[in-house]
Amino acid sequence: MAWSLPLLLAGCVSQPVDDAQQRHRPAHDTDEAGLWQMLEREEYKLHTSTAVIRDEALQDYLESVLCRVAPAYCGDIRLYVLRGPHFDAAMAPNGMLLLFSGLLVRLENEAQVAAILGHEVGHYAKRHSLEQWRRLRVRLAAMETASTVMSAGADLAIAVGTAARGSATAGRVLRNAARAQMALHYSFVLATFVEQLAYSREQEREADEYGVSQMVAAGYNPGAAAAVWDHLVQVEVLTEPRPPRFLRSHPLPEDRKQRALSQAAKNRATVPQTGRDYRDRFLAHMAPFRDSWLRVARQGLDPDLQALLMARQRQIGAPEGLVSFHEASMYRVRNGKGDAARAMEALSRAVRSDGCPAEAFRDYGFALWDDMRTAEARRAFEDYLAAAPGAGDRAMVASYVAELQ
Amino acid sequence: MGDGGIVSNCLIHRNATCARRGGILLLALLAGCATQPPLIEPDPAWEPVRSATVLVIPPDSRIARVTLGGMEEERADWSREARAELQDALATRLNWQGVSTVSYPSHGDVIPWRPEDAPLVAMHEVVGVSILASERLPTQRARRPHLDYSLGGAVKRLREDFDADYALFVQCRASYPSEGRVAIGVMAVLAGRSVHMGSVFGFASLVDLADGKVIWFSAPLNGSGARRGFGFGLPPPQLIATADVREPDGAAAVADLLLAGVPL
Repeated sequence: MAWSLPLLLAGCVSQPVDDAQQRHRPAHDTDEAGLWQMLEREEYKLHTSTAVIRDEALQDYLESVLCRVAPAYCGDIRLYVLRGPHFDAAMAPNGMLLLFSGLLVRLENEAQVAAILGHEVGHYAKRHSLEQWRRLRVRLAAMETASTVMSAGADLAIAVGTAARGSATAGRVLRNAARAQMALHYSFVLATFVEQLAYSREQEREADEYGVSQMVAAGYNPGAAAAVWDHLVQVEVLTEPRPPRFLRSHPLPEDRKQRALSQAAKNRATVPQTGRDYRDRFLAHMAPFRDSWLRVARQGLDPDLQALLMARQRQIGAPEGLVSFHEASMYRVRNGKGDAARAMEALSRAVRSDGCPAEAFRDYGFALWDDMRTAEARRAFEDYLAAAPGAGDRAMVASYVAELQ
Repeated sequence: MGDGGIVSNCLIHRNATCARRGGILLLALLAGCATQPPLIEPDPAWEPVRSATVLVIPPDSRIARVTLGGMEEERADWSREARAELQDALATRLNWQGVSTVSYPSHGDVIPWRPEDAPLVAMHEVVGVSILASERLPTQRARRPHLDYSLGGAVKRLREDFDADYALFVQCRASYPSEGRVAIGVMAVLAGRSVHMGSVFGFASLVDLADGKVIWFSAPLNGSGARRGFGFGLPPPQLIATADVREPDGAAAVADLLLAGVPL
């Protein structure tokens, strides 16, 4: 096929990049320096961004996990925790690592954070962005060259055709040449697109593998990586539409999970001692943020995914009062058939459980009032005032208490 | 495809940030189709500024290479060289017409401004783009009182720190073709096509450090360097659009054009 030639040429020209050295800084006159410059500007904006969570204890803790799982790049990577609903993290080629609160709020233990960090550091270590950038450049160059040569060839064909056979033949040649050029162009665009995605999946696999081996070296339970991908499998089941394998930038979560499991098993065979999860200290560090991060994580989620989020919180062992309160809020916002009763039930559970936010008492009061259970509503409002003495709506809620007397 | 892979490796492909970037691009495209703004008449009664000291802020320059395939790749070295050359050329041009200047020392390779001043440069970009989008500039330049824009009172800090009356903010975006791109350009001419060979775009604002008001705005570089030497169409409106801002001569030419008619 005609278009496979430029593709082949492109394959020969793009060189694999070496792993990043410690304290790596690209030379000023390189394409990598240009790539870093763009990301450095983005990173600079984070210094004044309100999305960044600036908490010294949280930052120190996550950086300690980063340095444990990737000691070689500890001084090269800057970690930022960002407020965001999604189960997501990102690594920029210049060492800017983004962790979203939606991810942290869904993880169960430190080993799972290490799995994520190990994966992201894998992208940095293997300089994946640079590799993709260079591959794209070579492919676009091949495409442009092929298309220009084709145009010039078509012009030549028309000139020869006109000279030899007259303008009627030339017109036919022109149409055929134009069609051939279009066909070539679009098949090449499609081939490049699909091939870049395939390469991206290959990079993700490489990063996954790097992450697990780093976890093993750091003494973490490598099985935690499979648990992370398992969560993505559960999300996948509830998500529509599901793109086919060849149109994905990442491998299927099932495949990632299976690979992580087999890699962990292989490690267990060679290193008999299994690593640790560090569940308690992870949850203790996340505890002060869980309420606010759950509020963010619920934003814009489909009911099914919200239900999954709540199930996940119970699985993690989040305080029942907090989970029930968020469940009630979820039902109240959805406000479908039977949701008022579900919210009432969740609130009554919340106010009797530990970790319940003060607002739950107020919400419970309103729900009871709606049900004409005025004496109970008054007690709930009183509980709210006791639990949140400095609340901004204190005067208003106090007036309800008086009204319900 | 490229966004998730090139700039950042997203953990899952359904990434809100990636989608948002696409949205911003769409907005930027839509912004191009603005309605015709009112024409500004020059004001004969307006008095130019006299015997003032001007602080030349390191220009916000991003210089890219157009690679063979047409991709614009930023270059860190070119961006830095262009910034230094332009800053020099702007000061030289002002000194030449008898205006004293204060130099702002560079604070870094990529972000040359002090952390407290970087937002002012970002603000200058927003204000400049707003002026270009909403004012008609028949001479590609405009001044107060017709032009009523401000960078805000935060500029007063610059007046105190550098003992200057005005600040000159410049934004410059340029790209130049690689050798491979030049070869493709020649081939494209043979094929009767025109390809993007790079561009020079930029604007300058003279800002009153007493109140942040933009007292003069100049945007003579409209970027049409696209047919650099190869096209059959009309020549670019400003031949200077092909100037190489990485070199002293090119930077001087751009500084001359940017500062033509500066009311100092």
